[in-house]
Amino acid sequence: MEERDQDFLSRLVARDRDALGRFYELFFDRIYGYVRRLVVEDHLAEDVTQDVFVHIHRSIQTFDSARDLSPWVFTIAANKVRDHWRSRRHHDALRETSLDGDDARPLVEPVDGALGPLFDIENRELRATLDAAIGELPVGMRETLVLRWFEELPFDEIGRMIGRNETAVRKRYSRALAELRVNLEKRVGTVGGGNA
Amino acid sequence: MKPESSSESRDPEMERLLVRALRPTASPAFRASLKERFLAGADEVVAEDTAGSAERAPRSAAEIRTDPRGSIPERTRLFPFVWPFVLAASVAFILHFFLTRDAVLRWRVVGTNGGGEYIVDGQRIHSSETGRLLDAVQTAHEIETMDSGLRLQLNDDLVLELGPKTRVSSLSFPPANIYSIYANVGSVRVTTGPTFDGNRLRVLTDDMETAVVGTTFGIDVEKIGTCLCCVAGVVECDARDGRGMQPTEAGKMRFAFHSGAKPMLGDAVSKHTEPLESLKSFASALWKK
Repeated sequence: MEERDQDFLSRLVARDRDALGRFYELFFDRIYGYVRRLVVEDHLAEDVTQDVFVHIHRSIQTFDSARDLSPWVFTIAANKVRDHWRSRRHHDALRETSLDGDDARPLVEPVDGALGPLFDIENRELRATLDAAIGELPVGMRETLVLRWFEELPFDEIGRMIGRNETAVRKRYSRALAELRVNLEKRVGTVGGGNA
Repeated sequence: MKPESSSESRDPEMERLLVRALRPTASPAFRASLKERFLAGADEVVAEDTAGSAERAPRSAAEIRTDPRGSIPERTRLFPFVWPFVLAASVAFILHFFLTRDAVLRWRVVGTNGGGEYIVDGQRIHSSETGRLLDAVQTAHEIETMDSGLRLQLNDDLVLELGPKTRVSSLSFPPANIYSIYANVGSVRVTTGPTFDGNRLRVLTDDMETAVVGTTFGIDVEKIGTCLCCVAGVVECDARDGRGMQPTEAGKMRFAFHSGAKPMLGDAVSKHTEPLESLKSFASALWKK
């Protein structure tokens, strides 16, 4: 794993140009994808992603190369997304509160035990449906889902990033999946036509 | 995608479906332009580092304080004066530590169930490192067991047993106040001792809070909820069902579900009571001596 290559990490901390280039290739898509899932709009995602890379550039010297790189990077990204919410507080007060308020929501029960027609939808359609359904998740759940599923971070690391214990993160992840299932099942009728 | 995630999730079907979701992608123009700026920043840093301090733009006092390069001269100037104080303080600390060590030790490690590793406040400690483990548990806030359990004795107040693959956090055992412990996952067993002051211990999980009067009981944090089994005395338990503290007596079990479903009350589960009986016998022998 390049992320654990001590030589690469040492050169990265020293801000070696090649190492920074490799770092950029390793992380750009992941960071942009994470940010874009949370802020939804492309131009906002670009602004926040740029902030993340500027911050990384300024603080890479403080990175402890004995630790894993991904959690460090995503902690910065998560903080930048939060800064973004705060700066738009007057516009997005509801989103801001939902970042930490999801756990108070009642656990949603799936409409049906099986996904049924979802599997019959064409891939492209399904991706669009999935994206929309993920986009409908409350921000805190979406954040946990993205960090866990797409970025493969361990639950305990996610917990440290968002200030929750591991159990709470696991629970939030399960809730996110349950809510995603409900969101999808609501959409299948209109998207897939229920051709089970 | 994570191969093991299916077993962690309660909805593996959803995770299989998620495989088809793609990560959102940026426009190639943005990707390329940000990369250019990111790497150009690297060139500026190299240029600044090689230009020498005399050519650098003046920095603010705050920057100088926080920048390690800026603080070196000040540290160098103070070094001859600070060093004797550091030395004296170290000697005093070491003397104090060894002279008072036995007096301040409150916890004892009384069992490591076959050996293995533990993580105490982030430090990985093998059971064979007895001194290090003993020191670490005195002030521990978080303990995680791996494949073997751990028994700890707090004075003559109680014996706390952590089963294998257990994590507890927010440990708080102040000498003259309420003790509390948060069970994140796994099995936590307690038996109280002769000097235990009634109603002094709280054990919390995501699903319940227990107040212990004086008893032997176990908490098992499982996938779907928390199980409380009591083998001696009575444990007051708030299963967060709106009924407040309810007694769970010896031989009884109370199960609180993560989902918020109505808690279940029944007979204690033998899988949980067997290690509790073993702990109870161990503690009885310990305090008979």
